[in-house]
Amino acid sequence: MFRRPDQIRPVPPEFVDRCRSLGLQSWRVDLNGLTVTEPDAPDLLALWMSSKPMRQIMTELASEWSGIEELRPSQPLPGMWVFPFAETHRRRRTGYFVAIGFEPKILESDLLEPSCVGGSLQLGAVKHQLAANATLTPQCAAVLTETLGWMLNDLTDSDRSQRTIEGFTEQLALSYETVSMLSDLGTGISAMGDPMVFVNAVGEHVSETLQYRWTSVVLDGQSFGRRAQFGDHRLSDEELDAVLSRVRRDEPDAVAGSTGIFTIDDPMSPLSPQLVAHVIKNGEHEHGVVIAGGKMGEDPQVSTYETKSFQSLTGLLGAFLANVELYQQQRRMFFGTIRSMSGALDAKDRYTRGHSDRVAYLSQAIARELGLSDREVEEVHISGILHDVGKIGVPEAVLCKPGRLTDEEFDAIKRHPQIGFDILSDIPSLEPILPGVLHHHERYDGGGYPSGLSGEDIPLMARIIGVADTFDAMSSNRSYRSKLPREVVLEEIRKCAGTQFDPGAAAAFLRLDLGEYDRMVQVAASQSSLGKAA
Amino acid sequence: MASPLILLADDEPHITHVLARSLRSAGFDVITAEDGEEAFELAAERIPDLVVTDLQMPYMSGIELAEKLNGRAELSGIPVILLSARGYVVSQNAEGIDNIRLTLEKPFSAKSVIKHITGLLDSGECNPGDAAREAA
Repeated sequence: MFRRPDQIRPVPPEFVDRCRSLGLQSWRVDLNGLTVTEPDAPDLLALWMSSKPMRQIMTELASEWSGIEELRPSQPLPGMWVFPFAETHRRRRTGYFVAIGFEPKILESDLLEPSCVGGSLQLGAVKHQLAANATLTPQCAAVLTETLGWMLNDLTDSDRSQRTIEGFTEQLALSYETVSMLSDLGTGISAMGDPMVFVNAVGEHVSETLQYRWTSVVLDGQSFGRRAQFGDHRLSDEELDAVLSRVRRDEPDAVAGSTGIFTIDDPMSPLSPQLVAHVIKNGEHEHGVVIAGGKMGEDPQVSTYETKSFQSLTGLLGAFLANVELYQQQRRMFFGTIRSMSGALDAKDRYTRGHSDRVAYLSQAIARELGLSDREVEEVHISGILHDVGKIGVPEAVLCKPGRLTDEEFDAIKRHPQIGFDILSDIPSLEPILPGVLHHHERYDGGGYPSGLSGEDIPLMARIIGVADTFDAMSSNRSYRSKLPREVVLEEIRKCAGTQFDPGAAAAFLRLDLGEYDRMVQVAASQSSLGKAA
Repeated sequence: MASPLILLADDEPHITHVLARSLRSAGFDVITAEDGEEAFELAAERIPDLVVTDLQMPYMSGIELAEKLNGRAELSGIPVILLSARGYVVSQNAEGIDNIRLTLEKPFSAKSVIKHITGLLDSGECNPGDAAREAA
């Protein structure tokens, strides 16, 4: 790289140490030769060097050096060698680093006595110390001139490289942070079950990685409609409203890409000096806005480093929210489809109206009570909705027959788990819920159907649905009998735990609050009477 | 034809390091300065084909440098690319200074800077370095 020869910054501290070990004194003075740092020398010698006549010598030398690019050593007194080096900052000379060495003949200098008198120093003591430090020879001085120059150049180069490395290190650390932020978010972008997990991750990254005291993600619309805040500072709802309306109403003071930057005039505000706002978009569709304020760290002004990160974060967020919307749409369609399947069954058998929904509700409540994961709870729920779908394949005359069934009729009924399984098994996304459909009539003691499985061999989902199904069946009117009182039903469940029912599932069921279930029964009853009226 | 000579000015040595390295491996000759003043002196002395300068530098900003280059007949044709960590503030200030051809926001990719430099040099309108150096 092209370099100017005179680029010498303040002398590195190692240089001072090395001068000392070479038996040289050193002194830092400004452009006028006035002391910046007291001479680095044994105490008495330092005091002597600071005496008026010696300081006079230094100011005279400094005025000689001014304007001279290449400084040469000089002997202001016989036996006193001065090796000057320019100190510069950003290519401007700011002063001099002066290394000073003595030959023994300094002891004969005429200036010695007056300089001691002026500084109230004992001539004898100064001479003694000077003698101990007067180690230079003229040959040695000539060699020093060269070597000190090289040494200083090398040390300065190494100092400069060190600063460059620091710059790189800082930049690298920042790049690592950014890469790790994007990789974190890249990993989280597929988790659409709970969109707020990703939204929160984005908010936390803005506040932590980009170092903002306050960050908010405000999501519009029906699907989301949420506001989240991150960082050390929180705004009240009114304050957040005020910030939002400013962002939506005012022209930004500056725009970087599509990031608006607004100045906060009140320097005491925790959001000062600037607010950064970026609309979360996907195509033309706006999902909300990410706003941050109160940038911390060395440079409180928003830089394009941050606005670029802002852009990629909100870009990710926009794509993510669009996916979430699609996902939710798909889920609504999925649930709509399975509901319409269970609805088809309800239409066929009015006695079981609402039964699937209630079994689904109770099953997921038992699953939750048993501590299953969110995903498993949802699978149990869907399996509950569809558990009886096979009854579509059972003749209506059998399904709705009042009174006792013949063995043949009962066999027809007993086929419904297998029919349900067959209907649903072609739908790949329903695969995890099939065990509940196929085995919900198995008994814990092995006396159930269709497979006669027992105990833990019955899939847990099916054992759970079995309890819920029996409870709802006993609690509802059927073509062949009226519903049983609650106490009787609960007693029956308790009694059959371990024979008909999985004891764990039964116990979990008995711990449930049935308030919501009773509301569902009422709703179904009122709909059914409306249906009759129509 | 000699390799085009690029003058880089930035007070952050790591930026000039990275950019100089990439430019050299892309076949450019590179000289660097660590402030606007040094950049101007170097430009007057070496007459580069293009200047890439940081905005905020000691003694003389990137914009002032561009204006000063614009004011000297033999240097006014040198295209200037401004780099800035506050690009959004620059755009208004840089308006009307003809030799500023482009403002790039930090962090930038060295590859994209090279692409822009090549684009500007290839557009033919500017190859002032060669001509001016020959004249000198």
